[in-house]
Parts: sequence; structure tokens; C-alpha cells
Amino acid sequence: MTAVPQPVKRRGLPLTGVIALTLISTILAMVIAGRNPWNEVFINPLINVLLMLNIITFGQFGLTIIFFTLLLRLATLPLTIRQLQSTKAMQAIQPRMAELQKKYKDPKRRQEEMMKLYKEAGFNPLGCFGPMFIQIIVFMGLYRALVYTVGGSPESLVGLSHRLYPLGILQDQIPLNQHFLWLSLGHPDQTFMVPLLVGASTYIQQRLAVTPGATEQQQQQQQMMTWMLPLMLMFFTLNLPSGVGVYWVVTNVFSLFASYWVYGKRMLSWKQLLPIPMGGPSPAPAPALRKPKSGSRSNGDIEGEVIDSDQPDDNEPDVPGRAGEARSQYGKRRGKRKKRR
Amino acid sequence: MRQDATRELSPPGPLSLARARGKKTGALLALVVLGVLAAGCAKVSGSDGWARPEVADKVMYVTLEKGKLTAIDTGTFQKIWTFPAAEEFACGGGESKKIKPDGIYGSPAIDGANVYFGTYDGAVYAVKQSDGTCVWRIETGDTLQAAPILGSEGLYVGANDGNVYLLDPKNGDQKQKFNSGAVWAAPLLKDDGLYVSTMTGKLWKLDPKTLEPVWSAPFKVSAGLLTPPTAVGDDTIVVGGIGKQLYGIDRKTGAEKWSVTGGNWFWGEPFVDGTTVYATDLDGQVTAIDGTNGNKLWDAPFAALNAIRSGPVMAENTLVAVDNGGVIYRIDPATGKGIGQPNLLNEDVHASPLVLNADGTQASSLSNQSVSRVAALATSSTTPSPVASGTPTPAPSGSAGAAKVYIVTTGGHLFEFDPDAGRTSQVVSK
Repeated sequence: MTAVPQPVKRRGLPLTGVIALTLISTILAMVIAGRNPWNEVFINPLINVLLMLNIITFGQFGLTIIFFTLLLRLATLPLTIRQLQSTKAMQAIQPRMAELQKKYKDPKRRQEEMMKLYKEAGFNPLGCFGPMFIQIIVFMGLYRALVYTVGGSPESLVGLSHRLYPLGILQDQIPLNQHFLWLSLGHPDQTFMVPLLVGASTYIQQRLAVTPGATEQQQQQQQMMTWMLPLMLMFFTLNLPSGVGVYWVVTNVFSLFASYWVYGKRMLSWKQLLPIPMGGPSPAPAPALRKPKSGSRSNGDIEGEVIDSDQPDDNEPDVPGRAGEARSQYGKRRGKRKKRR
Repeated sequence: MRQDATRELSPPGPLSLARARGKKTGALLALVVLGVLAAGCAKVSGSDGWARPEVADKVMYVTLEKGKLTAIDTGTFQKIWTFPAAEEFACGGGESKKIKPDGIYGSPAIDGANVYFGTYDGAVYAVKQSDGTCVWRIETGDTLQAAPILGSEGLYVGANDGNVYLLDPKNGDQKQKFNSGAVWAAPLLKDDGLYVSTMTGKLWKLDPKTLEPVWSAPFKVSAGLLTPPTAVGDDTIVVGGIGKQLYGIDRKTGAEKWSVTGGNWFWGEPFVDGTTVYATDLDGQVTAIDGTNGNKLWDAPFAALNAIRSGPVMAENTLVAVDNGGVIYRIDPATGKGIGQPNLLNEDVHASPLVLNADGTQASSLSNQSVSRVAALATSSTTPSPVASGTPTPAPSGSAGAAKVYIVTTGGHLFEFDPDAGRTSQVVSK
């Protein structure tokens, strides 16, 4: 009998379901009432929250954006962590998945066995999409909200007038102070510092969070993505209000901390930042498998483990997911390994 | 011995499926985000301007394109010149530079020699009325939304950098400066002072020569004031803004006489006919108010289909208002009821309309505002300016004959609207 990794707790699922149901019913109600649900549910509340926070930050809208981003990321932290943990769980069952792929040639049967494996491991293949979807929605909403609040032109204020809730303290915040540090938040950064920061932070975040591709083709795709995405975001930030860039930088920095929280200290390897293929040696076929121990599930052993691992493999890359998994399952194992060295 | 956990859990080979899926998802996420950004870029860049046209000597000065001022013959509607004519231009004999002026929000001021206007990038320009060449250019410390006005002491410019400037119209030299708070609306020059409304919620009365405050303290509210101060009779100034309130202020003391609540922000220039104030707001309401006591004169405000940024005008005894969606309304000024069917321009409109009499002269459209923008120097100058002589005095409503209303759209078209027939026609395109 083969062992499976410890199931991932599914605490987030009901919450996600409740949120999704609430959103869907609210959107339906809006559509029936003839109102634009996108504006009523996302944009307008975001704008008014931003203005509320602007009171707390004494009218410094740059600080408001930073404060808001941190609050937003903290509020969605359970989703972020769940997403990262799902990725970890996926990595943990990879050896078994490889075994199943070898074992079952019939795609249908293989799929069934994989679904069984997911179930045993408590892993939801779509688990990553929920948090991602929410983040995309929030990002789109925030982007539009920033365009209206610091759009940088009187035209944007005309649109803003209909989106404010009838509270005097909100009206009093208009016009927002667009100056923050060297930036005019409603206009693109002429010094190019913000686009550079956006590009750099996106690159670092991607580089440290990504796991090496299994095949050469995947590694090439990863290489392309880790370069292309920061470059494209830099390009877009050149033309966007710098307030949006500030949001992006802060959210990237927060993501780094969240990854550190989940994966552990080993993710902060400077080797990860080098623009060279991260996988070290070209990915080998499925490694030799250890014979399953009886009752191994209880101590966390899994099928598909490398048989001889007393000698550390120097070619093995530092992978955040692996390090995190190691820490979660074996406590202070890292320290022992270091000692051995 | 226990194996290294890292190696146990993550052998270097078989992560393929998860990674492949992850990468696909990541790529999809990136595409979605970038698509959103790309879609939003066009709206971010808009500071196109919404200046109301001005007419002097049968020449209309209008903004049809972002950052460009065009002179148009009101008889033939042919373009005379456009400033800037090229990407590079020189001002006052200086070095030629590549400058791209930003949107123009304030109507130009005209003194017979030059046309003065500000651009959203914070620059004030003086260009020759005859050929549109640049006479001088100065920069303020922030954006410029307010229209400049002319007076006997010089050119008054209210800026978003928090200052009101008094400039020498000949060369743009600064004569005086007063820290008022950010100004978005054109000041009003009356016999007894210069009235300046600010986005910090203040209404100042300043000495036109020294820019010293006249009142012991400015009129102050918590929300920003967006409308240009407008005089009603001899003793009241009307101003409104973000707080959804329109205020009647005592000209002598700066004390509040009355206030009226609208549906949303007041931004368009109120129109004054006698003691009646016609005001539009961003909720699409047109309201008639007795300027002496703040009483509403209609049973209910006229409700437009869209928000109204521009101010109303009076033509042929008909009140005309244009909403942001480009819908033109004719309203009975006595009752506030709509006349006939609204006309559709199918283009957005933010600029206030202009009324021209049958002889091509400018009718009263902004009440006392037009006087200070166009003809102020005529009253102070020892030699009558050629424009001032040709500049009309505000015509009493209903006395202008076949008046026409001219409307500039955000798409850069100039439309002529006949308030009698309720017909529109495009007369100029950018």
C-alpha cells in the first residue's frame, strides 16, 4: 500500500463558497434592478473605502494606496496562503502522480486514479483558481477605482461625483492630494522609478516563487514568463497613473513576505534571482522509488520518495516549495542538514 | 537515518503536470491583467479640456483639439489659424522649442491684441489675435483649469498651485500673487473686488490691484467650490461646488445669505437673468433660484437624462442646457418644463455653450463673466481697443433676434443649434 501526504485542510472552501454565493446573488439583484453590478459591487465601494482611508492618512493619498493595499492583502491572506499551500500539496503528490502516469496507460483510468489521489491528499485541482480569480477581480476593481480617484484630470472627477456615497466627509476629500514623494499619483512617473520598481519586484517575486520546470521546454517557458511579465508590466506602468504602480510594488512586496511565510527561509536564495535556468541539471525521469513502509502514512512518508538521500545532492536546486514542505513535515530538519554539512 | 525531507518530497523530475498547469494559469492571469490595463489606458490619459468658446470681433476662439486653440470666422466658419501650428514654436522671439500643450479647460480672455489662455500642464499663453503666433508663455506650479480674466490692472490667473496671479498682459511678468488655495474656476472681477472661489472651500474677495483680502475672513465651507463666482444684483455672489450646495454670499461682508441643495456637485457656470439664477448640477438637474433669497422658483427641477457639467444659457427666451451625453434641452425659464423633444448630438459635451446673436456678436451667456473675459480693458484703457469696440454688451434675454447656440463636443466638433426650430447642424470639425 502506498502512502499519501497529509491532507490539506479544507477550511477555506466553505468561506469561498459563501462569498461566491453572496456575490452572485448580489450581482443578480443589481442586474434585475437595472444597475451596473460591476460599479455597484466593486468599483464604488472601493472608491469610498479609499476616500475613508484618506482621512486616516491625513490626506496623503500615496499613503492611502499603500495602507489600502496592505489591508487588502491582509484580508485576502487566508486565500493567498491557501493558494500557496495548494501548490505545496501539488508538489507533494507529484511522485505518486508520476507513478500513476507510468502505471496506467489508459487516460480515463489514469484520470480516475489521479482524482482518487487528489481526494486522498485533500487537494482540489481547482483550489488555486479561486484565490487567483478573487485577486484578479480585486485588481481590476482597484485599478478602475484609482483611475477615477487619481485619474489626473477634471474629466475623471466628473465620473467620480456619481460614485461617492452621500457623506460629507467623503466629499470633503476631493480633490485628492496627488503628490506623493516625487510622484504625481494621477500621472505616469516621469523619472521611470516606479516602472523600474514594478518590473524589479515582479521579477523577484516570480523568480523566488516559481518552481523549476520538469522538462527543458517548460524551463524555457518559465524563463520567458519570468522575463516577459515584468517587462510588460514595466511597459504598461510607463503609461499608467503612478498610483497604480505604487499599488503593484506594495502588493509584490507583500507577496514575497507571504511566500516566505509559507515556504520558509530557503526561498530567499540569491541563486534564484540569477537569470539562468533554475533547474540545475536537466530534469531526470521519475527517480527511483523507495519501497513503501507499512503504516508509513502516519509518519508522513510518501510513496515516490528518493531511496538514498543521506548524501545531499549538490545539483538539486533550492526550491521554495520543497523547502516549505520539508519544514512543515519535519520541523527543524533544515538545521540538522546544515549541521551535517 | 531519515532522509533529507526536501529530497524526499520533491525529486527533481516529476513536477511536470502541476507546473504546466501553473504556467498556463499564470500566463492566462498575466494576459487578463494586461488586457485590463490595455483597455483602461485610453481613459487614463484624458485631460482633453472643455473650454467654452469666446467671440471677439466676429472671430470665435474655440478648442476643438486637445491643447489647441483655433480662431474661426463666425460669418463663414472658416478656420483662420490654429495655435500651436507646429510641434515646435517660439514665444516672444525666444528659442523655438518642442512643446505639446495639454488640454484647455478655461475660456480664453481677449484684449484686442492678444488671446490669453491656460493649459492643463500649468502654462499660460498669450498669442496674437491676428495670426495666432505666441507672444509669451509662463508656467505656474501646477495644473491650470480656471479661465484667465482681464482687468484694468492686468491678467488674473487662478491656478491649482494655490495661487492667484496678477500678470502683465504685455509680457507675462508677475505683478502680484496671492495664496488663496487651489483655484479651478475663473475669478470674477466686479467693481468692488476680485472674487475667487477655491477647491479648499473658500470664497475670497480681493483687492484687484494689490490682491489683498477685502473681507475680514473668506467665506468658508468644507467642500471644494467648483463654479465661478457669479454676481446677482448689486449685493450677492453665487457660488457652488462639491458639497452639492449653491450659496448666496453677501458681497460686502462675505457672510452667507442663503444656500440651496442640489442633486449633486455644481460645476457649470450659473446663468443669471435679472435676479434669477439658473444652475445645473452633475445629477442632471436644472434649477431656477431667486438670487435674493435662495427660494426655488420652479415646482421641481428640470431633470436631464445625464449629468450636466456645462452651464446653461439663454437664447430667444429659451433656457438651453446640454448634458454630458450630448443631449440638448430647451426649457421654459418661467416654469422649468421642457420644450419640444431634446436634440441628440451623439457625442459627449462638457463645455458650456455659447450664444451668438444674428449679427455674429456674442450674446449674454455667462452674465457678468463675459464682460471681464472680453471687454474689461475697454473700460480702463485710454485708447479703445479694437476688440473692445466690437465686443457686444450682454444682450437682454429675448432681445437678440435669431440667436444661435454653439456647442463644442468632446469629439472636436462645433455644432450650431437653432433654439427656435430645435435643429442642430455641424459647422466646424477639428
